[in-house]
Amino acid sequence: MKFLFGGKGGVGKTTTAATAALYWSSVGRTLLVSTDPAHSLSDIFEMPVGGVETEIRSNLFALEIDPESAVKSYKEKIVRQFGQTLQEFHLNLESYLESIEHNPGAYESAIFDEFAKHLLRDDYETIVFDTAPTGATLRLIFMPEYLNSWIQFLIQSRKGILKLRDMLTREKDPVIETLYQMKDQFEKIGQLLTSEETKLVLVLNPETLAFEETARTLHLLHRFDIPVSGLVVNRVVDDAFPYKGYLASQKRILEALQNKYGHIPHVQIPFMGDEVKGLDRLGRLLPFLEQLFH
Amino acid sequence: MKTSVFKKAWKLLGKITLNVRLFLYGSFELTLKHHIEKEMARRMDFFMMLCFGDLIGLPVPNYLTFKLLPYFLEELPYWQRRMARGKETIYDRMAEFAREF
Repeated sequence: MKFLFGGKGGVGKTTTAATAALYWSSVGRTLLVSTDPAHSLSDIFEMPVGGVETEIRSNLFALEIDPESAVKSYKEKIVRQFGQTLQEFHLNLESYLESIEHNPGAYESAIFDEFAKHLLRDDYETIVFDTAPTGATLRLIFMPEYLNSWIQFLIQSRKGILKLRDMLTREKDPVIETLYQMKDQFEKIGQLLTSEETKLVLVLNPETLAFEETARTLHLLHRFDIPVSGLVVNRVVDDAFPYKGYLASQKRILEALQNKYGHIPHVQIPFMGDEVKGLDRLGRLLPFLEQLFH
Repeated sequence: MKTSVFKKAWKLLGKITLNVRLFLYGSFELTLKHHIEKEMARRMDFFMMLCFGDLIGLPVPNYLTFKLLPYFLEELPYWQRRMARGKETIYDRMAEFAREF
């Protein structure tokens, strides 16, 4: 099973994702992947987590996607493919190779590549993705479609050439085969992202800004028929909270949430009073989050 | 006597078919091939521009198409030179105009 945790910045996505990973690690091998370039898994587990899988405790592994090294390794892989020929042709590709790294969207593509790689893994029973704030998460979900349309355009353009080329030779064209491979890959990821296998969970706070953003996200996801399998309302304060104004607004928002999105299963996590980090303190959130997975 | 006539006729027929074949090749296939190759080169240039526009200063999303670069290495320098060549659009227009008559 795959989980994607998204939501507005600072609402507690990482905390919730880490707790979810902790929960699933008691069931089977679990990997927690952070796709946010500003990583905070190291901080929440209070131990260094890097680009390679780090064992947090038995059955629980964590990983932070590093776009910079992903781009570099991708580049090296391709360059190795034509390493010999590069010298033969005396091409000045240095600036081009540089532009691969610094082109707008390169990091985004690299993050998506890594994300897709982990999404398609089957050596873990559960993979939990802690994503970057809403915009980036939506982008990640819609990325296969964006890329697919671009690839489709390239395929069409290439087909125009092949129509003529077929009149002259009958050789196979490796270019269009590569393009088709990419297309298949994107379609596979797109299907997996919208299937039952992948569960999208949105995290929010009982505050107007977070609520409105979640509402917008839900609206957009609904328009594209992407199901949301859960809402987590984080940092809900109880009646003992000293600021009555905040309590009133919280009550209003929780009611609105119930009225508008009652059909989506949601859980509430109370305000813990202190910072939630480290495995022990994360464990305290478990009983609240558990209901979502039953 | 009879055989030699047949032989001659056979030879003649062979010559005729060869000439007809050459005529057909010259009049249809040769020009067609030339046109096909020319059109293909034009489309190939466009495709390469979509993939490797960065090489001539066009910002295109090149992260994915970088994978295709190995297949185009041979053509790349020639393409770059073709793209860098100055083009007189006014003469093109004039040629098009002249073709009308």
